[in-house]
Amino acid sequence: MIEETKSKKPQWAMVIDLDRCTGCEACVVACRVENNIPTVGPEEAAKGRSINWIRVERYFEGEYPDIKAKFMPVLCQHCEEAPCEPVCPVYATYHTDEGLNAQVYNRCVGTRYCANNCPYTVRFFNFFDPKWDAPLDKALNPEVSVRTRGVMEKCTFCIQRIRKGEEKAKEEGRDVRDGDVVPACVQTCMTKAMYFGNIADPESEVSKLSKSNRASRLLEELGTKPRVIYLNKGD
Amino acid sequence: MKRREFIILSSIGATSASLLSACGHPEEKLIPAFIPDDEYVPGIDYWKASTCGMCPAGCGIIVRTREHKANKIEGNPLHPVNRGALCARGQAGLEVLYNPDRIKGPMKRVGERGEGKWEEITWDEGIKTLADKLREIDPNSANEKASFITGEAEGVTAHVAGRLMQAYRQIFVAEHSHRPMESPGIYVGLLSGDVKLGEPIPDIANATYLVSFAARFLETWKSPVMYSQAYGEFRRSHGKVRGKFIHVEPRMSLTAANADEWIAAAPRTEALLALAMVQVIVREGMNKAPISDDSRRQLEEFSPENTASMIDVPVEKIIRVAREFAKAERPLAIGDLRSPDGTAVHLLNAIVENLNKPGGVLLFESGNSNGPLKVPGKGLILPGESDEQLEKSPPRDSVERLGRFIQAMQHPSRILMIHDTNPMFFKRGREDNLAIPFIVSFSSFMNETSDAADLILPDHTYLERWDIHSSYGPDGRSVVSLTQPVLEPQLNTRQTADVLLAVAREMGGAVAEALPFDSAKDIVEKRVSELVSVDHGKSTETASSEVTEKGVVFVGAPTQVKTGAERKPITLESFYLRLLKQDASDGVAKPDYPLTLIVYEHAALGNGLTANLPSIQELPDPMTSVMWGSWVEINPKTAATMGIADGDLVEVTTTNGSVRASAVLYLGIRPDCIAMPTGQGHSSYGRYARSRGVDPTELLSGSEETSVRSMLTRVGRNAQLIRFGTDLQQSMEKKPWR
Repeated sequence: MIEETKSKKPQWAMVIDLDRCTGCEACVVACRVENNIPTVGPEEAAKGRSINWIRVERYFEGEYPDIKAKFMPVLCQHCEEAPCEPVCPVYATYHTDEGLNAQVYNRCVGTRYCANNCPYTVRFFNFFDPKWDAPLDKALNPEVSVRTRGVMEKCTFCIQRIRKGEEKAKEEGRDVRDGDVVPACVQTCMTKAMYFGNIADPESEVSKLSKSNRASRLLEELGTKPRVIYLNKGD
Repeated sequence: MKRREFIILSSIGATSASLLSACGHPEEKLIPAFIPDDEYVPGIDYWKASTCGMCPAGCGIIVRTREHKANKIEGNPLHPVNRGALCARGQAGLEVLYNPDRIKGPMKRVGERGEGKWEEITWDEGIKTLADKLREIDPNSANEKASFITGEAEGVTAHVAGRLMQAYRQIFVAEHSHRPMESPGIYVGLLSGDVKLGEPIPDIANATYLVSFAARFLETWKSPVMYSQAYGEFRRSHGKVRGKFIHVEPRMSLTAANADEWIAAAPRTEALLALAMVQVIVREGMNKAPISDDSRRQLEEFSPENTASMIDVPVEKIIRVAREFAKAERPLAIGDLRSPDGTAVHLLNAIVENLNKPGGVLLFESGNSNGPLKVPGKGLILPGESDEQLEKSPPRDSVERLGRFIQAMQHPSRILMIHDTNPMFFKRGREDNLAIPFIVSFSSFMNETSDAADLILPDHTYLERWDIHSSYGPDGRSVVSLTQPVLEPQLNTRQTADVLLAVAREMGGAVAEALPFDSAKDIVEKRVSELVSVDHGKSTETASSEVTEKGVVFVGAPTQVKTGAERKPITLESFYLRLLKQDASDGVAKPDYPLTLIVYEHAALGNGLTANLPSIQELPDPMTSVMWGSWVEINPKTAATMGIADGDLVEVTTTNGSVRASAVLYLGIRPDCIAMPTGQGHSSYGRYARSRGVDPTELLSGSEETSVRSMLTRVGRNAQLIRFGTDLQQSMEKKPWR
């Protein structure tokens, strides 16, 4: 699949190798810590209000004893044709010229239409103001804003890390290259199952991997053109 | 002296720290110990290198701090054990440092024991109280003893506490939970010369065919980050075929779920299956190492035809896997089995001669097996043992050590000091411990042990203290890494080693003479300078300041054991073969207790240490999606016969007691088994852990066991079961994604 874009800016994309992913969930905690995602506690979690920008889904196939399990990390797919974007009445969710599906928290009025329209269920609503029992709030990342009650949130591809990487490249007078931007989930991955980079750069690792015959995208048939590419198990 | 390789982190100090933090390459921006206030720049990330303290694996970490606050932990890319990666537990480490339920300073009990009434005291008072209590004990009396137990097998606390207790002729146990490891003795016959073996390292990355006997190496086994990285390479790396992975375990763990083939052998028959494979390999002449005729005959009893019904795996399947294993380019077997069961797994490796070959078992001479700091008695001092006796203590991984351990733990004491372990969490032995007149807890948290204590002298968390940690890299090189404070202490806590040094000074005499150190920092720095002074060209001062300032990793070159040119045939000892069969037959069903309960370590909660961290509590279990609680896994077929539905409240009963938890219908478990994870069931340990779920270990018959016969009854509908699930998961389950 060739990325069609008029923008000269980097086009961010992620590749997840499901043959390497073990479902260990290190990415889930890394994301929570990096992006100031609150825990909601057992009562709210029981109501389905737990927030995970990235999660690991597990699918079983077959019957005992010939049963197989598969794991798939699911995060915002940063669709090029994102179903969440046209339904937002206040333009809080929109597409950037770097191919990111962005969320402007202080525009969001909490209609939750976007969550309703997302086939990947990766958008989360803040049912109340987030709370960190002191002094846990000391561990908040000063570069990521805390979202308030009534606001939608989701994976940003670690936009704060993207900006830093871009500024660093600019300071050094060059284009961004592989390794400049490493989102928290990719950074911690124990099996190196995740890759992140500029898919518009034919030399980048994500670009090369996206052309693998193992590559596919989640719910491709919906025409959302996700920017997250999965590499299937097997040869 | 052996050549030592030294990794030095590039030196960029605070003055040259760029306004842009080091995105992508934070290791280039590591900074020295502490930055003076007049040089501290707000808005800049300062990265500090140290060692993770969330499990004994010893991964290197770098901690991002800003405005004197830590806000992220990442793996240290230059550390050979984890090479930049970190697991879920390690990522949650800041919730230990900033936990709202930390103990703020030293306290003494004022109400009844367990009543929860405490009075804050000064450190001087705390130290004097402990020293006075210790002085009351006559070191020469056989019955009046003081015990010190710590969960740390080595490091600065074990070093100091061990020396203190040795000088005072008291009881000392480092590494509270004891489990003899699988013995690599089977390899000795294949080696040239008389060598002492270190821990065998499986080269998973380069294997092409991996059989794991219940070794959950992607979750809890030994060094999960290191072995997960190896697994990634095992699956896909350039110029290597995709490895095939077989996992043997009665329950589908996360590791089993990643296998190409999961073999649900009956509980406790893993070793029998390994032996059946060996028998097939030997009888079909596929063995590369010779085997004695006697052993060949003995093995016949363990042929698949004789044992398949016990293992409950078809004969054809055992034969097929054995053939695949023997014919594979680089076969490798690993196991999480106790002695003597572990020998059966090592026998598989020995028989295909994968020793010291890529993708096989790497064997090294045992070098600094006692850690970088000497721990007296290898971490075990029995009542009244002399210095000479301690020198001859059996090795840490030996079977005879278990007897010594039990003797030490059961000896009546007048004073019990408990560090970095929580024995009162477990019902077993709790009453005996509570009978001890004076209990000191060094925990940073109010856990079950602190609740029962008379004096609490809270330790720093691992992000505030000094220590040395030794481990090994994937190639078997020994790694020594530094634990150093990433921030100033957050509360009025004090490093336990420093407290013990102060106690020794207060006590004076032989005890004070045995501990001539200023501080834990002093001990660590001295040891580091000794280690770096070994043929390193630089002056000791320069080299050790580089280590302490930059959180450096120290790597010793390994001495690989040579396999003998003239090989003796492998000989099996008949007594252990008998033991194997006996152990497996213990698992045969009894009518009153028709199901086998498997108690397994929760991948993120461990044995309960991380239950006080909200991020870990709210992390959905990858296999069941359960958060914030305990559960019982039941095969849907078994559940149907008992009228149990998903989410029902059930009661699990064994001869040792019963617990109640929610039922989870789970496709990945044998129909004659049920399974429960550890980690929950705290009656204390802060707001996130308290009164949540149950601890299934109290149903087991001994602390060394992991399974027991049990029965299950349905108690009611709709138990509190909290799960993380999405519409996507539900729709995908119906239409499996390719």
